Amino acid sequence: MEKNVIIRLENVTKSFEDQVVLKNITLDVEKNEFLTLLGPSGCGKTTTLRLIGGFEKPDEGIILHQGKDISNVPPYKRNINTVFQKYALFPHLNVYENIAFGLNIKKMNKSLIKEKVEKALKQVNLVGYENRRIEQLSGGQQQRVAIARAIVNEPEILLLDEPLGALDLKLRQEMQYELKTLQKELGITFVYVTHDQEEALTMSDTVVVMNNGVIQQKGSPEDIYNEPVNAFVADFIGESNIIDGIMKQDGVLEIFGRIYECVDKGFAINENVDVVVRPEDIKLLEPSENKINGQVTSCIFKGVHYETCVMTDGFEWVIHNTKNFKPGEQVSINVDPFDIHIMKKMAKETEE
Amino acid sequence: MNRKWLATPYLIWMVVFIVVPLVMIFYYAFTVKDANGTRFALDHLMKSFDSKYMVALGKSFLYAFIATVICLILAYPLALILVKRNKGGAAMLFIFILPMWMNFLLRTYAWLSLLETNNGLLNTVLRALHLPVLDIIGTPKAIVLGMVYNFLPFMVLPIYNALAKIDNSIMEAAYDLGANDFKRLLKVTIPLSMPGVMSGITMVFMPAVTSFVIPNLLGSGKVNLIGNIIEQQFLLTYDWGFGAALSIILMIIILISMAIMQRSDEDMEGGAGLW
Repeated sequence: MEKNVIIRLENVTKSFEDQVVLKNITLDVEKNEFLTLLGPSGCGKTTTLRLIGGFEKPDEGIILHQGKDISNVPPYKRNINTVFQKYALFPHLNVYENIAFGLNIKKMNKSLIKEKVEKALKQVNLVGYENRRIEQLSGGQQQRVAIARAIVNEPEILLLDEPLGALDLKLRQEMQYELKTLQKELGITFVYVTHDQEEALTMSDTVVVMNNGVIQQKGSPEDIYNEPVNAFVADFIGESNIIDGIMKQDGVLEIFGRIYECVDKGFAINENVDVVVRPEDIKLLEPSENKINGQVTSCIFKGVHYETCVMTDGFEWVIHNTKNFKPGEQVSINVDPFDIHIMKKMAKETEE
Repeated sequence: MNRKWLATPYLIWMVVFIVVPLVMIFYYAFTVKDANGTRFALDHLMKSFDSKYMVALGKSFLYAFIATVICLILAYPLALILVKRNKGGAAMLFIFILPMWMNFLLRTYAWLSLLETNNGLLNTVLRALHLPVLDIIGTPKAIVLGMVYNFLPFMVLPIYNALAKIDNSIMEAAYDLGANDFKRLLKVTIPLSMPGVMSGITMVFMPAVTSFVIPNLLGSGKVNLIGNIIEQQFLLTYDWGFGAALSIILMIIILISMAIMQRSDEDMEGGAGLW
């Protein structure tokens, strides 16, 4: 397993002025994987990327590139390239010159540069744009130039800092697909930063969910979605209903004073827990005894489904279903035991 | 579009203080007065091409050129340091500009008393240290020094502004693509700051080439530059026609040199300059 690790962050801590941005992070990036750092703004994901790129130095801990400490190696000596958030293209150079920049620095033979630039242009579907000025390009095209400018150097690792953030939805989805294809074609490691959970789930082999400078969970998109380790991850990845509950014993849960069956085990008796239920895992049925009964407060058409809100015991549930309910209708909440996810309470975040 | 009238005061200003004087300069330069009255003539213009005046013109351009180059060499690294220093840079820039709050003449007089061969502060110190004294007052060296001192802020400010405008992520991108500090300076920083350099050059070269106060004071009247000669035509010999002709020649040469500079700037960068 060791052999596949291309970048390792070991116990890395980083602060800016008196603000701790990363708290003792340890992260392995494997060769040729598409790894996404996902989290809300200020969670430390961009700082992590900048540490790998060499734009920041860790206060504590080390960064290993194939086993060698590169913590103090400047960016221009790392075989890593970055696609910046605002593209950061050189405004005084045209498309061709921008892409050839890195190769020219390496004093590569002119005809070889031409060959490589043309190949890169082909890879990002920009053939024929060689002589365009940067300000003549649309956002999407500038994005492609930024990607071409990075990949033409054949880096071992490509870092992408929210590269699709400025594009419209349609283009973003297109680019997600293209980036994934490109990564497979090139066979290099991508480390991608985003706050968009859908983007992360669509493209990644591995998703790393971060919050407050700490890695919350690392896993495949399916793992992260289906088995979130805590309420933060559950809430950040897709919508969730998070309810306070008490584990009476293994497989027995108390919510709102009623006892339910669940599949989770290993909690202390009477431990306070977070109960997470995905909106699509809830079925709305006729009200009946021994069930959570409530009143529909709203029902909004969302295209693929209706988003229905149901009020029970002072808690508003969000439910995705395919039937249009009328506000005021009486219903009951039904969840299969294996769709009830029990999580340990998160450490108190009173400092916020 | 109804706000167009707001420009009227400026239009009047331009006509009264720029267009009318220009027309008058042309009128004086291309007319002579004799017994038959005023008539169109090229006499003044022909007189201007006398070698005596052409030498003064050449010297003016040479000294202004040297002063501009020295300003550029001093200002560029300074602007780079100021930009890198963020907060501290602003304070340093302030100190740099502070002397500009003082009158231009006063500053030049100050240099006169600093540089004076016998009683100047500089030479008093040098003598006390048993070092050879500097005898530069009344020489082109003193004139160039005065130009550099007076016009340096005009070079620093536009370069500083141009450098401050470069997005940090562009600088990081250059690093990322393998450029070390020196290559980054050469391939990214300098090209992107060219508009600032160009306006700095313009703002130093133009007042330097037309200057007459600095050569008068620091040149002790021994070095005649084109500015001095024009001044003398208006204030001493009252030959306004000839003074106007010299002014026109100076103006045309400045326009041509600025156009050439602009052209080379556009070839490199395509940025918008002073015209």
